[in-house]
Amino acid sequence: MILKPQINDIKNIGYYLGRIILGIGLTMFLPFIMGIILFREVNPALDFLISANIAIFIGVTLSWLCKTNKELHAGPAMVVIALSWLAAMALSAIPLSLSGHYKSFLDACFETMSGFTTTGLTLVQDLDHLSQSHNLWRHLGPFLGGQGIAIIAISFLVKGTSGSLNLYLGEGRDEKLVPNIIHTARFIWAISIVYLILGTILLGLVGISIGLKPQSAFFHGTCIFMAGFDTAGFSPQSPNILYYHSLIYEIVIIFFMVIGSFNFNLHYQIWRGNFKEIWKNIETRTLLFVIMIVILITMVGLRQLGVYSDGIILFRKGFFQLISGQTTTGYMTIYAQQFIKEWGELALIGIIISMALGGCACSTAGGIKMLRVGIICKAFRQDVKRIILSPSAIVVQKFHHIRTMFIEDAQVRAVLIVTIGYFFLYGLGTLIGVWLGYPFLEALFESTSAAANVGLSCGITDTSMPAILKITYIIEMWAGRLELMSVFALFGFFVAYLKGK
Amino acid sequence: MKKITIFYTVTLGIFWEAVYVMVIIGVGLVSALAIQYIR
Amino acid sequence: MKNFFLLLGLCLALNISNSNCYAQTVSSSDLLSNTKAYDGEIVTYQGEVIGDVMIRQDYAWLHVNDRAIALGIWANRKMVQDILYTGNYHKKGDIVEVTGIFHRSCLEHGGDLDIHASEIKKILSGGSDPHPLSRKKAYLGIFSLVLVLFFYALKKIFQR
Repeated sequence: MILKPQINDIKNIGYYLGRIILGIGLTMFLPFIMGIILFREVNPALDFLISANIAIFIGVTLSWLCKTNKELHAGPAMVVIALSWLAAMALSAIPLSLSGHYKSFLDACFETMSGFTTTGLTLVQDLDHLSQSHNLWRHLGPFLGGQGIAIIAISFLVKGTSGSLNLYLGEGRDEKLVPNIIHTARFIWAISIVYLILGTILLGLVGISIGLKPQSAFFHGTCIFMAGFDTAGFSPQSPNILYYHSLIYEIVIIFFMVIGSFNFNLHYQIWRGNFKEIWKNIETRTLLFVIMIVILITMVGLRQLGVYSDGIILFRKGFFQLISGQTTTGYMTIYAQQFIKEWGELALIGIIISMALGGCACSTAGGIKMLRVGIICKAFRQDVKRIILSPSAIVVQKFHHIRTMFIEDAQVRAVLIVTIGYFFLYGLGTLIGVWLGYPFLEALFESTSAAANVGLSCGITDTSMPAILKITYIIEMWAGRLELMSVFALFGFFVAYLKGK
Repeated sequence: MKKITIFYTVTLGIFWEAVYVMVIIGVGLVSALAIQYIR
Repeated sequence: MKNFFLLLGLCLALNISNSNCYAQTVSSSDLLSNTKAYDGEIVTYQGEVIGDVMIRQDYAWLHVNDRAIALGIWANRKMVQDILYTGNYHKKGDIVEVTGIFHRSCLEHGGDLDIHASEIKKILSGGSDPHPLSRKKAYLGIFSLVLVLFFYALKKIFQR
């Protein structure tokens, strides 16, 4: 029997949603202040002032009308998360839409959803003339969304631990770094801030050494770090990372892309002194193993067609795009069209596999995640052993993730369901792409890039693409980031409301 | 934990993360060179 | 006579100049759609200089955007001395015509797609791109701020 959601549940959802919307509004004051004081961009600053006020008004009204002292349970928490990502997308799109650099409000929504989900597919027009305030906002999206809207809510906007925990879990993160969820949220912030400072300084200095003006170097450094560490893939200039024409810059970016795709729990362990974890962890091991396989596929594909004439060039172009795809960042040092015109199908398949599998769990990366891939491989091995060995033998399989654990069937089932869910998303986007007339491999590439929150593009993502496809990719990015569960919870909630007793 | 200990541990942690990334880059570079020149 | 005019027309159509008999202005879309065909060829490309001109010892990188895509140009430092304005929010960049060899995957620059310029001609000088204060946005901004503050004050009074 489906239980109809009660008015208190709805009020609860409204209250937390209102608080989160308020938070989004308040963050818009950062580009507003920077615009007035630092960048001397008055009209862009006004865009943020107007948008902030709209968001604050909606947020305060909603949380005031729905004020409740009830604790937020798991189901409603997932609904809050799913709705708040949609609200964040729409409200954050207002200043971008006012900038005049987006052909429609839908394009601006696509951009903000891409930013918050740390995807990086972009529909911006004339990026090279976009104001620094708007550009900062584009890059701030991944930084905030990468940590997680739930983390922001827990850290600043919401009191009480049990509701906070449910919000955190609703965002597809189930790693509690420390027992107290608020301390977990704080630690995630701490890692991000430390690396933000380190990253901005390092990229700024490298930027100056390659010929950027100091103000540009540090502005780019901040933006590139936020989009790199948070595995988004936005960049302040239209040629993306090709703009810098620098091996050193690429190497530094690779560093931030890879560590950005690490599980936050892994960072926590390593930063607490448990250095061996980096070599023992199932995710880092699986990542290394997967990279070796996809490197082979991609590079053989490139070599077959003679795309790059030199081993070093094969590394710089082939490997960079591959790591960018594997970590689900989406930075590119080639133009989108070159994927289709030059790379050939085998190399593209390698990239698609790397995108589909993705980075580590509980990180800013997307895709199926290394933890699931590792568990599936171990489970497969266990099942093969069960078949080979005598029926009376008890086969156990262990894996190490912070602690050494046994693989349990229930766990494998949960992992497989989410994995199938991702394949369904990849397939759905591909189907719609092909239906709209795009070639199969390109449709598959772009759909996987959206659902795995990667951001590599083979050229389909363009303002001229059909609105249905834009909406499809928005849904894919949203569902992929939330690991599907919160999205299902939202639909389940509506079904329960309509059909429940 | 004392502040200096935290600083030292975090720095070492970042170092080991960098080592892991270097290993990945190394794998990429060796693969690229090998695949380019084997055929 | 008829042949002379035909030849003149042909020359004009082919845009034969002192510098280059082969080069007609190509667009970035054209280059990117036919990278293999243009690889190693001399091309003429026109657009606005955007971003920073990155000086690297005796050479420099600049990016020229023809309203579709920005392409990287590698040029001798002396060639970029005349470039005063580069495009960003506050400025319109100089419009330049670049003649040089197009590389699909430049051996010298780690496989980057670029043009090694042999000549850069400034076609149009850039300048400041003023964005006058939008009155509509200013009124909306102030009005919405006042509204929010008023509403917040109302809420506080109501709560007491």
